[in-house]
Amino acid sequence: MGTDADPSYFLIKLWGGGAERHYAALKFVLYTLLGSVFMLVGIALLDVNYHQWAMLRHVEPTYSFDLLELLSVPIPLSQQILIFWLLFLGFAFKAPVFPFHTWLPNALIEGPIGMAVVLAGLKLGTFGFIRFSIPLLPEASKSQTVVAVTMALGLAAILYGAIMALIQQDFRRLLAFSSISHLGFVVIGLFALNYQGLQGSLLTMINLGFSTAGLFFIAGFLYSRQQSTQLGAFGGMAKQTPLLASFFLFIGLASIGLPGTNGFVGEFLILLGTFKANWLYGGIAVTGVIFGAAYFLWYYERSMLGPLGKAVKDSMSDLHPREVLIAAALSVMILWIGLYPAPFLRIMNGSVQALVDRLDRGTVASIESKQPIQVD
Amino acid sequence: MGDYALLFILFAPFVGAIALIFVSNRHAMLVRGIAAGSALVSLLVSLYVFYAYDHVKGGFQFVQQFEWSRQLGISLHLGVDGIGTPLVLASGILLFAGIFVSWHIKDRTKEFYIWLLILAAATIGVFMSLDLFFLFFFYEMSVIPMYLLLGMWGSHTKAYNEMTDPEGLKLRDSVGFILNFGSNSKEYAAMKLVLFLSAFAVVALMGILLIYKFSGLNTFDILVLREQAKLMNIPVLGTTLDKIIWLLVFIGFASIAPLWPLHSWSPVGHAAAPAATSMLHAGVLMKLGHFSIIRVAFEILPETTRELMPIAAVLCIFSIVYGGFVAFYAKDTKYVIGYSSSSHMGYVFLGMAALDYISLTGAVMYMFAHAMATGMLFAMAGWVYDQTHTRDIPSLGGLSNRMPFIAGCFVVACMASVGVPGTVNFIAEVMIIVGSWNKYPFQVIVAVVGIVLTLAYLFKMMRGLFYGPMDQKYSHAHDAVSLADRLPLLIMITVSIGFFFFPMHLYYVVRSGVDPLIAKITRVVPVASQERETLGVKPEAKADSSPQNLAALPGDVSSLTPYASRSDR
Repeated sequence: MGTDADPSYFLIKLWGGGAERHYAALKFVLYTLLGSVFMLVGIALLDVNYHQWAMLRHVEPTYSFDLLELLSVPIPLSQQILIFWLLFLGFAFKAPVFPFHTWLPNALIEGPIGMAVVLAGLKLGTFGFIRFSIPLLPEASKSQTVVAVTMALGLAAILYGAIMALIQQDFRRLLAFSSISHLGFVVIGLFALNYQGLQGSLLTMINLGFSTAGLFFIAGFLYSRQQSTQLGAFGGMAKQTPLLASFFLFIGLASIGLPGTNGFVGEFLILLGTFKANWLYGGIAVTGVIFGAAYFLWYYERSMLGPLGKAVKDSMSDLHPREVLIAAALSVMILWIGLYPAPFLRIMNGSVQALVDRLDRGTVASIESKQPIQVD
Repeated sequence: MGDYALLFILFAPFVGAIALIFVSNRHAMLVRGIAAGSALVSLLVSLYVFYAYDHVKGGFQFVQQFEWSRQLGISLHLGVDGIGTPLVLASGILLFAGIFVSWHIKDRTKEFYIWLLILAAATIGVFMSLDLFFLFFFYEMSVIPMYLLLGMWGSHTKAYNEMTDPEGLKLRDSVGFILNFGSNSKEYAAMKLVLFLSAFAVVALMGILLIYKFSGLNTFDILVLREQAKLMNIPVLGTTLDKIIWLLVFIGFASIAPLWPLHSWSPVGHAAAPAATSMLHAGVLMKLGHFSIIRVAFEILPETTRELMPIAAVLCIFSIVYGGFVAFYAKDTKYVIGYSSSSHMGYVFLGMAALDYISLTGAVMYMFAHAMATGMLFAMAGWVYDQTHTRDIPSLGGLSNRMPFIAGCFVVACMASVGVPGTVNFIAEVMIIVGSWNKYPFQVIVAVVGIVLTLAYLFKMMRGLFYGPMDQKYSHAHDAVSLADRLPLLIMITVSIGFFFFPMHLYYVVRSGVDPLIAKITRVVPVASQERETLGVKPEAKADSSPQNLAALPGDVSSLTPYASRSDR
């Protein structure tokens, strides 16, 4: 995870377009590294724990960072909770989860759009939860404080992100806050700690790679035409660029969860899981869906519909074949997952089931079986 | 065709919409042709379903089931009963008529028809869903297209885009815009409608998810849930769970119906929407509310329905009276029709609240009849607006000389909406009134006064539009002459009058859906056996006890096919 911070730093600093790109680059790298330091300590503690266990039982090797080896070792609950929070800080800065998110809007606006697509589309942080935190530390993940805190942060992220997105004038800032809101959904799905929630979170992580990344591509198309993603640069563009407007609308509707697109399936599964876990959390989470519809539709209406904006040139070109190819490919995936997600759910089924089993049995049970738990 | 009939009805508009994506806007006739063709397929097959529906057998017919996700218990489960069948037919008729009503749309014709087809298909999807997931799926899908149809092709009364707020910001760019209740812009109407409906859709979703969670059956299938879900007598927050679920489902779906305090999005939306959208919106989209309450709350929680449905009986008074008076004083044609629709939806709630065989049958028939009547009114208000570019009643008048055909049809539409004998609305109204009299005499008196009120405001509007002196600036207005313009009105008038003279098939079909439902709701289970039922955890316990329960049915129902054997699974 550290290795992706360095290229991002230079990508923002050297290829970024904004006036504050040096500040954004530094902020991004410092934040991520700060998180990584905590995580490093957490990983070291995991290793120490493994070492103690291995020494007692005379197991070779005595040190290991291998996930499968680490999984076969019991960890006392107090230790687990400590390690959980250390890892949590690392992943939360990276994801970003709500109070650790402030680097994201800066980095996304100042950096080049290609990097924004990758940053917004790839969910390293939340993947960390599902790959490391939950399987390695099942008892800690189940403990009351952890669930309460993570749920509260997730819910706060959903509402905060959506409300902030509502008032943004810059499309890339709007996308940054909308992905914070979506990540809130992912987090509550994960810490619902049941089959539906975990599956919904995994699917939503995939979805963000298509819909949020797709919207960043759209932002890129807009930027290459107007050299800006501010609202003032658009207005009534659907007349000039019908293809761009259509794909913008379609990918945007996917991101707010129109039935028939991938966003709906992911959000529905997460809400289902959250309701199953605790219907109070579920009740708060569903309100996020309403704001989602509001910020996207309102922005779309002001930028694409209505009378032609002053800054919009008559000669503006519609999407080039290369851009159509990108948008169409993403749209196909959005529809596929939206209408028939069964293949995706089937692939994830085994791993999610294993994760749920792991949560049920905890770390101690795995010693008796002498078999490392198969995670994927 | 037979078994696959519902798939044709549901997917023909979707296929049409997909085909339209690949047609250029330059070929306007081809665009209209594809839209009309796919709507025609849908209409013809829904007619076939309506007449092929076996009302003696009853239950859910034309059932189709496709697995979607086994682990989550979701399947695309389609089927219609006596309540869904006429509503599917009404959607088919209004979609076909709506395509012809919007024949003259010049601006982005293709996109308009795509969204109109998706809207109609989603509505049809709700009427035939037997799976809670897909019911919500299609319900939510019918809301979003409304935003675009209103925002892009709607109309507003002021030059709203140029208005600024005290700080010099354009009004439509400031956050206050969303909360600005004084405006008449189409953007405001669209945003209000979508926010309102998705907010309440979320309320209904909470109810659905609670049903899924607490039934513990790991399925969204309504047919399974209604037989096996045990949601009674679970204490939650000082009351019982079933009441909370029922209220969530009821409030969530009553917002689209719209029931009185939740109605405010509806007239604004009607006023801003283009004619065909208003038709579908008032004709069938509003019925999604009643239908979903019947399908979810009545089917899955019958005992709670009996206990809590008086809420609707109280609120429907306000719906009828308030809507009627606002319609009387409104100056905008579409506001009048919009408020009249929300007033008339109060009748449907009255019919539902009485929980009587006759009144509920009347309520469902009224939904069908109202779809035709309000469809005609909106189509003609749209025609008048297209010709005169105003909806302001006081400035209009004397148009009957310029457009005699429209004026003539308008009389018929008004009479249909009032429920004059000769239209199917009359039968439906009489059934609601007769059926509800025993239980809610006061409401029935209010409803009868409401009919007089309807007469007053509709004839006032008719006089204002078509009679009296005419302003010379409207002398260029012309009548609906071509077949494409007249066809939608002729279809709806034929249906409205035809079902007055031949109502029996409609009656039997609706009755076959209503009977088992009311029998289940009004069935009184002795307290002792109720406790045994709810305490027994195993689902087999219910199957064992069902024959005894059926024996306890009222005499006139026991001659019909027992309800439990009606699931066609």
